[in-house]
Amino acid sequence: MDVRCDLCGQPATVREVTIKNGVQVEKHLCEACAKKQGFVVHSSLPQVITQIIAGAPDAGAGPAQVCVSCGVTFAQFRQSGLLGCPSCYEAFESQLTPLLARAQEGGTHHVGKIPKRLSSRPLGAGSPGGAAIGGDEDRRARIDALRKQLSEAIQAEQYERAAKLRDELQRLGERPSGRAPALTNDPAPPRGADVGRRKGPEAGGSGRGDAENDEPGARA
Amino acid sequence: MNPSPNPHPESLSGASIRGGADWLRGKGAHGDVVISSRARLARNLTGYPFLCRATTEQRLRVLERVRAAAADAELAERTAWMDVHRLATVDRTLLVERHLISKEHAKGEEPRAAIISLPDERVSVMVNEEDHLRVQVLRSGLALDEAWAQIDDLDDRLESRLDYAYSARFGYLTACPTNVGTGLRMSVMLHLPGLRLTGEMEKVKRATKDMSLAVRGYYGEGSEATGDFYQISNQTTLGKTESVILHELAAEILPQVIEYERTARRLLIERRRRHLEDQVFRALGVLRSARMITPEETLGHLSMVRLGVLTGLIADVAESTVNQLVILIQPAHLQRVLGRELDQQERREARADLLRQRLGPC
Repeated sequence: MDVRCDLCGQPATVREVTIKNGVQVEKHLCEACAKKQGFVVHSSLPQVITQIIAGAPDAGAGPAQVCVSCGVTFAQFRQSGLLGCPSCYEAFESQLTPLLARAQEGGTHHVGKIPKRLSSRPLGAGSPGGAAIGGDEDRRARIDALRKQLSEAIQAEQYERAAKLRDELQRLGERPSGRAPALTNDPAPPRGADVGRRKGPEAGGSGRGDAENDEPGARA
Repeated sequence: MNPSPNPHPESLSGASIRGGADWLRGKGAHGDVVISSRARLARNLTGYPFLCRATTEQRLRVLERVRAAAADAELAERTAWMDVHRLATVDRTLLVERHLISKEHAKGEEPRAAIISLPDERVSVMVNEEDHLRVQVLRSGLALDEAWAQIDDLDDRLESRLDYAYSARFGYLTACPTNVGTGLRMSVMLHLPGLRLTGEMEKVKRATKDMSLAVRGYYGEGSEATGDFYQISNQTTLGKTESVILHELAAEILPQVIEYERTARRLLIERRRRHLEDQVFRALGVLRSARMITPEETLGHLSMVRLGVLTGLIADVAESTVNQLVILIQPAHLQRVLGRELDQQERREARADLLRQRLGPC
């Protein structure tokens, strides 16, 4: 069906429907006239969806569209919701970040459990925690995320939760921020606060001799 | 102890099938409202694609690696290894009905397996589901702390024998990014008939949604609440520690929901006793009289009977009987208890017979 622009007679691509006092008024406009009327016009629907999913207008230009490790394309992932292999996370990192933030309540960095074989590796810098598994940058990101959550928990007067976050920060070898003086001086965790606390290297090693042998580097 | 190779789910039969699973005992803490607590971890091995891209050969290698690691890790005193793709449909359904594997895992002919701890069935591991490993711990009543402690320990044992796909930034890498990070899903199955009868269920759903928790039906994702049984679980797996995920569910929302349900039951007894009695005894009357009945109708009435038992209106039925029936009236269980295949009509008849037998005469 060939619908023409109400204003200039060019092929119309935008349809506006308004209902005023119970009367429906339909307006057809071409892209140029629609822009003049103040509409935000995207050239095509698939492009709009891609931009929303990728979270950035220039997503198509830079980041990888295919994982070289398994051959899955980002389009395939969008369709199925499933990634093809562990390397996909690295390959599609920039596209995944905004998606994850939306799906994970703003969470973009892991702050939970660390595999023992990684957390018990010798750490050149001598500080326990994340440095061994992703360098200082990752460790900082983890600490920042935890600090932010700690601050939010204190503001919301969720002290039990705050104590858990404080424990996590201490496990990463970090003094919790000065915003929580009462917590940093409180040696007694609330009931159940040790649930889920990692048994990191400072807790006396893995207790299992095979942990070291299980490092990838130790394999033949 | 090594998992016994390829046992038929016959190993779950006898007392265990007729009595229902350990988690349905109804003996756990807050068992009047909380049926069971569950912890689940999603894990994948390095060096293999996720299952949607894996070849049969790769699936078999994953099975072998997990099998060797699980045997060595001694996940429980006694475990059974089941090649799910080799099981008959009715046996796969039996495992789904006992919440040991997912509906998705029961489908499909590609190599897949389940490891189950016996006889308690508290621990189960699905191998080659959406992720290479889905480890589950199921406990009776409100026992999230215990479930987490146990699964954390199982995870440590497996992890020292397997190379898990892990990144410093994203944590444990999973096929679906909604599980990435901790890979942890903590959930409880609740029985909330009081909140439905007082029209408060929507409030609970809204409150849990505000907390980013998901409310689902009896069989998890995509299922409707049947018989007032609801699952509440965490949605977020990334950017929170395991203890915070646990705390949000166990301390920030559940105590309130449990209290709301108890208050609703109290109000029903105090202010609408006759109305409640009518509903409860009609339900019991149907279950004691029906000559054929569907699972959906049964669960609806069992829910009311359970409420009647817990509020003291029904004195001659045990809570454990009701809890067991919730599972025993399911299609595969009926067939296994009777020891033969039944079509839908025969199942409806067998279900009614079982209910009359277990709940006694009018």
